[in-house]
Amino acid sequence: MNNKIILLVEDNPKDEELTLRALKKSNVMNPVVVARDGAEALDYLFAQGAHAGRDRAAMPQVVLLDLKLPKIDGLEVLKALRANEFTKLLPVVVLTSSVEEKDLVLSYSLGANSYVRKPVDFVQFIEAVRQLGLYWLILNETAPVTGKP
Amino acid sequence: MNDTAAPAAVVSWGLLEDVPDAIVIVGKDGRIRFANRQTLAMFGYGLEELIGQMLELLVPERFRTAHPGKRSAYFGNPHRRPMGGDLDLFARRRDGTEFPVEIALSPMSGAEGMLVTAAIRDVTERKRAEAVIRASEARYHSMLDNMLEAVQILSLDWRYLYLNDAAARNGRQVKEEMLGKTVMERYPGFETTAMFTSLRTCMVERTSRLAEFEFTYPDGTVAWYEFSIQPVPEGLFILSLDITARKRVDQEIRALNTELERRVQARTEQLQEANRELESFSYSVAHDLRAPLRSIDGFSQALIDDYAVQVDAEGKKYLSFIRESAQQMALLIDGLLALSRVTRSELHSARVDFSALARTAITRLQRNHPGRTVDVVIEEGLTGEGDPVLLAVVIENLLGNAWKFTGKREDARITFGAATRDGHPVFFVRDNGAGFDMAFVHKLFGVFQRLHGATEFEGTGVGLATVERVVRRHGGRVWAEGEVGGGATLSFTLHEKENIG
Repeated sequence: MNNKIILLVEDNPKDEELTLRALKKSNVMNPVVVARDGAEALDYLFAQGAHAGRDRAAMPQVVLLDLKLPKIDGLEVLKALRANEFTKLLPVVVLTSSVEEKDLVLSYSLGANSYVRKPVDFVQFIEAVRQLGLYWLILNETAPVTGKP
Repeated sequence: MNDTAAPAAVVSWGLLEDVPDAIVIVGKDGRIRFANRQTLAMFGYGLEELIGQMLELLVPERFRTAHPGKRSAYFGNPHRRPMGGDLDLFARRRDGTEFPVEIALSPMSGAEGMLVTAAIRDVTERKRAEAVIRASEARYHSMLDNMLEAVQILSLDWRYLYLNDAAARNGRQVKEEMLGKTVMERYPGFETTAMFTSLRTCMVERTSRLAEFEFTYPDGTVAWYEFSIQPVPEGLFILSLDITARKRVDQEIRALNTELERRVQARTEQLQEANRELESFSYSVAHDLRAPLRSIDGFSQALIDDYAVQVDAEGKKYLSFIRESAQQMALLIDGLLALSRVTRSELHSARVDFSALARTAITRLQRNHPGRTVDVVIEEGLTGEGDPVLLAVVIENLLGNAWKFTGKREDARITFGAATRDGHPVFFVRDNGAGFDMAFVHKLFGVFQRLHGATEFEGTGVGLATVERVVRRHGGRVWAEGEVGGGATLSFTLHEKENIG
């Protein structure tokens, strides 16, 4: 494991707690930044607004993105990330409640790297997060940041 | 030949023997001086019976009295009179029968004074032919007059040369007042109509055509006519039929169709609206109903994990019940979503390989339950027409059920096959599992209806409801047979209703 940041975009505090807990239970020790809506997520990633002072070269290793979000929803966030030279290769894992085909197809067509449904069974949830962590934090080599924001 | 009467004349008139008409030469006294061979043949007399006799012998008795007067008048004013003209003349044979003739007269002077030569032609055949033609013309005339279709013949300068009763009736005019008049005189404003434009084209180009016209009468009422226009040497021959009633029905049907289309459109919009609402409702359910369940399950687990010391065994059991319930509800939500997806998704038709679907389903079931041994028989080559995704749901559900309900048997056996009934394939999944009581068969396909307790066999009660809905959307039926402890057979058909209808 390394110290790369995980950006968790999640508006539901209980889901946030559960996700953090699942990360911990599956031994993912990376620092987690939580954005509670789509706008905040974009501010963080583009180092703007409340996050204007942030070093935007320090990109998260992976973004865990919920779809149903206030203000700017997950699919719009994804669209904005893929449209920007600076973030278009950033690994984004859609982590959501539904397996509605519409969401799946749209997520992948907008450039999501992976799509994971949050299981109700917490034991299964931990397993899913463990596999996510294994792949996106350890096995996957992130593309170098080349573009300008 | 008797040559006592006029031997010299007979010789000099010998050339008259060869002409085709009967030639009779008469003196001023009215006596016959000469008659050629055709005369004898035509009238049936011998020459000696004619020579010296009065000409009136050859005239029908009813005209005999008046004839000498006419004869004298002619001798008083002799002139050449050719055949033909308006005279209806008749002659009389020896046997008393009459026949129609034409007679040419020419005077000539001879040694005995003035003679008149009469050339007589029998026109019986011609008169008969003329009568036949007249009768036939009359027949056609009366046929035209009384035809249901209106007939008009227009001259090149647009005058009515002929019109039958129907034509006058259709035009709401009197036939006699129309004949000889132009169409424009009888229908002021006619030149501005489409009918006129069309007729003029036929008139000028000498072409025929079929056309329908709307005709407005002076009082404003409207009628529709079907015209068959044909150029004839005189001008145009027009056959027309009143199709107003038919047009009116057409228009009514069109109006009804338009109204129907409007209603269908409105109904479709309502349905689309309802579908959109259902769509967004399902979407919310998929997202929002699961999140609280995740909390219930996750934090119950957190209590079990982190507060193991504070919570005793009884408490842990309750927490596990809470988790089980949350997970069960998640299954129910998934089942309901699957069911609603079956209802709202669009049907795509393709040839579906049921045997392959069944093999895939069994492979997955076996992978998820590695401890089980089930004897599975899948008939090869079973196919059907329908939506591949939805029909896969049917096969998975039916085999999943069979797998589940044979769970308590050591010698579990599942068969997927097809039989033919009334020419239709009937697909079936048969198992030797727990079966069910036929008294409750009607509950089998209802949503959330279960015939087994949750402790006996787990389940949500939406699987067969989903199967039923998919099969129904494919115009088929699904039914079940079984007995408690004796296994169950679930059968379904596709496209039955479409074929019956």
